[in-house]
Amino acid sequence: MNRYIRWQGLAVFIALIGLMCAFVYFFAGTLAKSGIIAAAESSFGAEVNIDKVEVNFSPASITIKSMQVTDKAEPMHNLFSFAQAKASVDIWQYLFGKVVIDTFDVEQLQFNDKRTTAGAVYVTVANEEGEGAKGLTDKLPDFDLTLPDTKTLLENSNLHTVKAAEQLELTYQQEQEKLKSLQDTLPSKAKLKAYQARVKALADRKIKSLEDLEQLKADFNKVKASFKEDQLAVKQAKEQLKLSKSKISKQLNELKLAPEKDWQEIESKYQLASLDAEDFAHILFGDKARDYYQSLEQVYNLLSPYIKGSASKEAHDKKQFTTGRFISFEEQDPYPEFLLKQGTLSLVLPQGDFSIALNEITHQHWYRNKASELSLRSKTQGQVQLDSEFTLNQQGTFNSDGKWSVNNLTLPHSEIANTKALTLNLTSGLLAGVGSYSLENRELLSDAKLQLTKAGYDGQAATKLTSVILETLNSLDSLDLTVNASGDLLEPILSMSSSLDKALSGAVKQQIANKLSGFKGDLSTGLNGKVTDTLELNSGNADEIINFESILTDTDQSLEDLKNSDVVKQQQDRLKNKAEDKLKKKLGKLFG
Amino acid sequence: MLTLLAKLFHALNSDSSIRQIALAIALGFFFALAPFFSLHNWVIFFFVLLIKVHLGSFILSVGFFSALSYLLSPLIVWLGESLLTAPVLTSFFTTMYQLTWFKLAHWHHTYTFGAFVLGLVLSVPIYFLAKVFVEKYRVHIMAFFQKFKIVQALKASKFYKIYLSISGNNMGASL
Repeated sequence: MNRYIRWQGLAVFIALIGLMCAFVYFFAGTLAKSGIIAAAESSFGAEVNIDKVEVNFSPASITIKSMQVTDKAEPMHNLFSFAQAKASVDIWQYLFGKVVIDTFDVEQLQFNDKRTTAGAVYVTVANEEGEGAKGLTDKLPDFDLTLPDTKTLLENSNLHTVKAAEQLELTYQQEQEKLKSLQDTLPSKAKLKAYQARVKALADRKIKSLEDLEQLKADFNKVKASFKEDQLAVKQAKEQLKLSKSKISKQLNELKLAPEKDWQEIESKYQLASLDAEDFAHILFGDKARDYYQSLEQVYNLLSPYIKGSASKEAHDKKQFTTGRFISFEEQDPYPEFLLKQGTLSLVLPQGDFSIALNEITHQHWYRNKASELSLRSKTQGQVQLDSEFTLNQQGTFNSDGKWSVNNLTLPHSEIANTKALTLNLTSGLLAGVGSYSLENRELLSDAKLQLTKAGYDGQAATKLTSVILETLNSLDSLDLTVNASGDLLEPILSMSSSLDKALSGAVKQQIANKLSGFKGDLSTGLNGKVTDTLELNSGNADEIINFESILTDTDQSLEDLKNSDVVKQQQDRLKNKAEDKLKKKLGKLFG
Repeated sequence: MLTLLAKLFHALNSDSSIRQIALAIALGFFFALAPFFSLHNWVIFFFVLLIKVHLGSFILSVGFFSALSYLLSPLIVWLGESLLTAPVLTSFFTTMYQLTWFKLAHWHHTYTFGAFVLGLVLSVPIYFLAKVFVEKYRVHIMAFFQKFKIVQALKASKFYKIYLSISGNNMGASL
């Protein structure tokens, strides 16, 4: 046995295990602190400070005391900080490769609180406010100060009116050329007179016998055959005239409709239609509303690596290809890879103190068939309530719904608009409201009804329009705001209505209406002037076409008259009468 | 490191059991494939200390095969994934999954299980290959290499001095 066994090796093994346990026992806190700081600094890209980390083994728990995470965009502020966080972990599940946190408590969680010294920044923040990232409030000065100049607009060669006028003139020229070339093929007046003289000569011819009558018929047919060619030329000219008139008529119609088309395009280009007084709630409060919906977007982006079909799935799969993954099989009491059974967070915000209760937080809800729940309550009973739950199924569909209510919540000083034309701040106010949301596979449906009372505003208005807005806001006792959002979570469509709209409907709407009406009037006059000028310019062309039509009608009529002439019949009747007279005379002599 | 290499050469050149060296290399390979702190590595480490295998060879083998395991990681993951997700093996793994030690050993992890299976399968041929290699080395290769001038040069190096201090002067003469 001793030939194969090295008994001292057993002692070395036990000693090594003992040393390792002792090392972990005595240095676990220091190791955990360094590990958490390194991981957090790598994630947040800025200095992270922790006072102390305590690790307990029975029951297994970790306590982090006083943690501050520097905001990399503002190094003198923290992204968040808390006084203490304590998590008790199921050590067996951890050894099995799963993170199951039984309880998790965070005390005095604060956001954007000031640091005593500036934190180091490891990752610089790109400036996100580019040229294209202008807020809705920027529409205010754009409208009030730079309403497009009518003269410049009318000089634009791309106007439908200008194009239609040019097209009409061109059509007139082209059609006139066609008609002129056809006019040369028509029989002249002299030719028509010659035809008439020939027919007259036939009418005056003395017919004595049936042979003479037959000869007359043959001669008349010869005359008819000679102006058949002319009749064909007249027919072609009439068809061309019809086509030309139709083309010109179409162009005229287009010219008459062009000013309206131009106005619609100008209205759309300069967003004049959307600058109705009814949109002011959207313009003033839309940015704020969008900010709140962006927080939902941030939550979604945090969860997106776990949602199937997300952009990061490829990277996730690539990582799994080299590092592997845990495979779960059926078991009696299954756990997801990560589960926070219960958690509480106490928040200190400018709006007051709040507490958040978390329940069953995971990204693999199909293991326990329970939805993750989050509820927020204000320290003051009934002031703020939010109840929300979410689930993520195996197919990667993320569903969530929730409802909230706010009652007499004191609002902190906040900026509403900051543009050249208007700076507007809310200095005080009480907010009340109810709302709900549902999210089904990125499709958002949300509604919120808010009421702002005892509001105080300050600000400066640089234009008449913004002065009226400021005065109206200050005169309001209560401001109701309804916000609806729907569509894709990352690009929700916001619709807002507010009592502000009604309040502003008098003065502001009138002011806008006057300005728009004046602008539209000037523009319409200019465009209609262009139409009139074009019509006057082409009146000579129109007269020529009318003359041509008259000539054509006369020629056609003359040819038709000649064609239908009853010269043969007249001669036939005359011959018949003569024969009868002759016969009567002969019979008179015989019986008379 | 030089000491470890010297120990390996000493073992190769000395009368140490060929099986002890070959087993150390095979176990080193098995140990190196899996994550350092996996349960089956502790078991391997326990046996390495308990049974008489050549420790120097084991440590060098772990170092060498650890680098190799990095290159083999996609193959290891693929093997673990294929086995753990094979429909015919589902009922077997479901039964195993109910056992605490199975989960504690992380054999439901594709990398760890792939490394375990690959280590288990390849360590046997590696043992025999290593055995043949040491035998051949002692009979042919050692004598062959002694002819080279570079070996003569090595005898004047620091490495050779360490080697001598480990093996003793008489043994060193045989290199």
